[in-house]
Amino acid sequence: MRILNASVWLLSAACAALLLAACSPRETPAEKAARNGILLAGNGADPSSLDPSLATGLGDFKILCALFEGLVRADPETLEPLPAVAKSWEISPDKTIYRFRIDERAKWSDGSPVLASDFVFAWRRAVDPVIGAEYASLLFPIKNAKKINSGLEPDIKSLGVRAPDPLTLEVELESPTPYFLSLLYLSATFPLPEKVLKKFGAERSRDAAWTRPENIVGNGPFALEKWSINDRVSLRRNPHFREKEKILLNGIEFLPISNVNTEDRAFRAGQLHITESVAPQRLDSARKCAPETVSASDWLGVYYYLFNTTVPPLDNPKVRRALAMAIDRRAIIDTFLKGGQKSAFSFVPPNCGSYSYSGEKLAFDPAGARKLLAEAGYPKGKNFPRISISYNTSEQHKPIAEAVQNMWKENLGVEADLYNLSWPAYLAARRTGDFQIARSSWIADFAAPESFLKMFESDSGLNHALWKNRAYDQLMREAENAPAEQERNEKLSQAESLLLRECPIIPIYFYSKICLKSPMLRGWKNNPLDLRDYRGVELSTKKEVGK
Amino acid sequence: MNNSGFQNSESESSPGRALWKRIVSDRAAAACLIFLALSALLCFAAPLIAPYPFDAQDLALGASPPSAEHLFGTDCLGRDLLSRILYGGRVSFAVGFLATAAAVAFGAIYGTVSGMMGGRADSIMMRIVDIAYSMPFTIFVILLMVAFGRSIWLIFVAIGAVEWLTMARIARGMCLDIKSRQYVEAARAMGESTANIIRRHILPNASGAILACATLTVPSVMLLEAFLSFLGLGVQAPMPSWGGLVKDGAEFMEDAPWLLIFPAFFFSATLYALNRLGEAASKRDFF
Amino acid sequence: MTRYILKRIAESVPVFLIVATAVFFLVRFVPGGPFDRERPIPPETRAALNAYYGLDKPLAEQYFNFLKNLARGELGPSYKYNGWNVAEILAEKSVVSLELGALALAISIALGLAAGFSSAAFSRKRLGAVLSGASLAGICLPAFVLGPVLILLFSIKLGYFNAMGWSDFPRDAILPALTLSLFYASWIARLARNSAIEEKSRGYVRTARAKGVPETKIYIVHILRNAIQPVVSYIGPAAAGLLSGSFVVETIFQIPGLGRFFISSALDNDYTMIMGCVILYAAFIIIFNLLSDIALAAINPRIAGELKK
Repeated sequence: MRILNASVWLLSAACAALLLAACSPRETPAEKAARNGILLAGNGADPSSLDPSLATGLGDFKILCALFEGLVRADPETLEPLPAVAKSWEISPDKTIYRFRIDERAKWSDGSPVLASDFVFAWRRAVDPVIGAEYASLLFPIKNAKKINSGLEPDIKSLGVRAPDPLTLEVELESPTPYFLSLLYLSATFPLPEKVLKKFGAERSRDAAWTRPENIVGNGPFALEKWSINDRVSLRRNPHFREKEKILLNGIEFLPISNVNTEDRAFRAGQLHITESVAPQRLDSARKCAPETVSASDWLGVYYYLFNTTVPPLDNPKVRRALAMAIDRRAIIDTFLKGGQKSAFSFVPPNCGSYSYSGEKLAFDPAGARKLLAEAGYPKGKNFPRISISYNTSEQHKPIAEAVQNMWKENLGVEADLYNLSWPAYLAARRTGDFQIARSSWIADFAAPESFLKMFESDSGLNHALWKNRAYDQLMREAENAPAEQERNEKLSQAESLLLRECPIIPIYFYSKICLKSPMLRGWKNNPLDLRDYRGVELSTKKEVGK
Repeated sequence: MNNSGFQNSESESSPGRALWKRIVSDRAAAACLIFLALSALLCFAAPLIAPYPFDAQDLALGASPPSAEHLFGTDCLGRDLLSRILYGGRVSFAVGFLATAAAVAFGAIYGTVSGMMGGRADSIMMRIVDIAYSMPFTIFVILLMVAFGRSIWLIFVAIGAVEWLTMARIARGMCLDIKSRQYVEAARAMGESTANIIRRHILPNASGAILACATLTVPSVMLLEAFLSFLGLGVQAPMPSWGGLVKDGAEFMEDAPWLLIFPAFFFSATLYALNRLGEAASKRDFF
Repeated sequence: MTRYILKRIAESVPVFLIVATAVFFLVRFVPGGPFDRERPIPPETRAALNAYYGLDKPLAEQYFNFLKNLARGELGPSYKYNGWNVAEILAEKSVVSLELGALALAISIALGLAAGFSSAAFSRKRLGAVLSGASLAGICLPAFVLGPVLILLFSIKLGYFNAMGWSDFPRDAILPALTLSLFYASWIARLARNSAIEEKSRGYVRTARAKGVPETKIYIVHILRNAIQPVVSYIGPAAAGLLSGSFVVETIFQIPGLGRFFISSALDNDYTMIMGCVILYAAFIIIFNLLSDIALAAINPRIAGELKK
């Protein structure tokens, strides 16, 4: 009796709640947030860390760019270095010593000044092998950084960075590194509040609680208010920020929505001002129904397939080239990427600094591919062993792998199996060489061709193709020591040409940053590194949009 | 989980026939049986009757709505959906039936042995079942799949490993119940061996309830396969399965609704029919 | 009763240990460590990380340390979220899962009992057949189809609810709870109906009827009281399942609950988090089974007598 009663009661309560909810027309969360000057931004993934030296994901960087500020910042459109915490800098004639003058207006969010020693502390910590910072290698151009990080040099003070006075920072490099300033856009080079880290015992620890909202101190335009895993990271204006007058937002809510369809629905239901990405199948209708919300721009990244060049028959460059020439990139892009990606017939994306590749490119040429395969001893794919393509679980990678599999079968008579692996299993397979062909991609850390080409040097930890070529290493070394930009670009171009001839990789497409953006959002600028700069970004309320 | 409906044992001499009678006397259940038999037949005949191979692509076509050439339309790679549903059904039925068979075989043997042995051995064996029940099985299945590669056989094993527990409990319950019957006790007094008792008295009597439970296990296995597909742990592409097709279709529900509607119809109708059949099989008319 | 509860808890300790041990060793067989990232880390860094988290020690020692920490109630730091430890993440997220799970459980019990008992009451009529057929629907539609359909309808087309997120309880909980509960409601309806029909044929019902007791009274006082028992014993594991969250629903509705950790920790090889989830789930199962046994005893004095033994 009681239970029956209770169930009737609950049922009617649920119905009443539904009705009640149905009757109230309301302002969408995005409109309300716009009124309050709070940006609602999709962030793709949860940040795994808000410790600038330990952060690894793209999702971490977007938040860190709002919480911290480095020595220089990128022009949000051209990516040229602009003064930030360093108000000026000088470079020695041999380009190995940089001297930065710290802006005396730079303050931590607790009001204390940002000092040169905060950078010295942060960089020493980042290369300290004890904390195992995944991005420590970005600091390797600095003198002794690599040695310290690999344990060859126990004295951490030997790192090539000094603070001769509180507002001067001096950096000594191993060799002239033309892209050094652009490394300073990245979170691994941000300063750290030495006092705070020491207070929480974070100096040599990964797990200290200093990044919690109640503890963290930053020097960026915003300060951390709330961090709830899988839910949101809330930021509010930092009243001590150096250029606070340029910040027009009162706060940002980063929403880590990992499922693109969920993010898309959230945008359409008025819960986001900007999404992190768009599911390709949604693009056509988004362009038709709300074209003003679709934003696409070039992104310095390349999607490619990686050969394990030690496994026959993939150890034969002719076979690799044949496979590379049998892929119709246009069809892949037009059929399901749809986001303005570009076919990749070379490896370094266009508009990568001053570099542009001038050599011979790959092409989609099934007849030529068949000829090459026949020359390698497999006419019409006869006797060619079954090969395998490994990819990590994702809605984006699966159809591409299926299409590539089909193209090889139709164009070359080559049969391939697909292996869908979980993320760590896929990474482990790549690391240990337990694959034949693996889907892969690379997003540039800095706008220079080295960000892509250094990957395939023989001793690079990223060279999962296990491709070793002395001539390539030689060209890369020559480029590194080239005195002039033009000469450097020429050497790099020769190296890329060699890479494409030997084909340890199959470039497939160059990325495009594609997302949905509300018309309420003003002053947002796109750049090919997808670096965020919140200066000048504002939200207008709905009425103004109409005007 | 649900075993209350099956505890009633049959006293008829042939429980199989009784089960059959119960199903054909229930018109809806009979319709379900026909639907299932027909769709299973079509799916297993897929290589013969499918209009296209399951992996034949037409990138230029892309996702196209139903037409004369492609009755159910095509997916984003221009593959014929009808053919993919037929082939996918083959995988889903195979996963459903084989995993259930594995679960039934292992569970029934385990439960019967436990029930027959009784005493300490019985309580230890049932304790093991309790332990296994408190494992979060999704984690267990995922770890298995990730650790040992992704083969369709492993999916059977992993799912079978989840589903045998209920079966073992039911079989044991049946066994204890039947064991105490007079004719079994008489047989034992006459010196019949335990194996004989199991074969001649217990298994025939328990088979009705076990079959009914198995019918209900098949749809839950198929749902589990769909869940694994949602996680991207289903069968290897380009081979389709119903769970995978429904999952892909759900992502296209606004832009290419046919990709969801057709597979979801077959998937849900099959689950419904299996459940309805299981209900009919486990029910006794009491009036 | 207290003795019984204590005994049950004592009995569950070995279960706990065996489950934890099995998973502890299973995760070590999964390829790839917890530190594999898109940007491969140098071998020195990997070694440093392994040393930092004690993963370079022999397996036996790692296991021993794990047990030692477990005894102190520590689950260790999260490998994925720097600066957080597993216990505090799970504690924070259980609140969300408890709210959502409790609402879903209430809906499934209400819907399930209503559908199950009314279809049993009308079992001889067409209405009963329709109700029992309809109540199967929840088992036939995967949540990853139902959830998006509800969102498209109620939040995008009609604008009644948010499409995702967890900022406005209970409004934000309604659609996910509905999605979550249909499956369980179907099971409950089936159990309730089957056992109510069985009770209807019992001798005491016939006796009561012969004595001229009104039909509604027979139904409510006698049949439901007995027929609810299998439902109660099903609700134990069902509650454990609902309260430990659902990956599908939490992903589709972007809800910061426990369910996503159960799956993503296993997919990401986040060792400490996997162990935390497994232990939490085992605890839920043990607790809710105990609760449902106690509830059964409250309904059925005969069972209570057995418990006192």
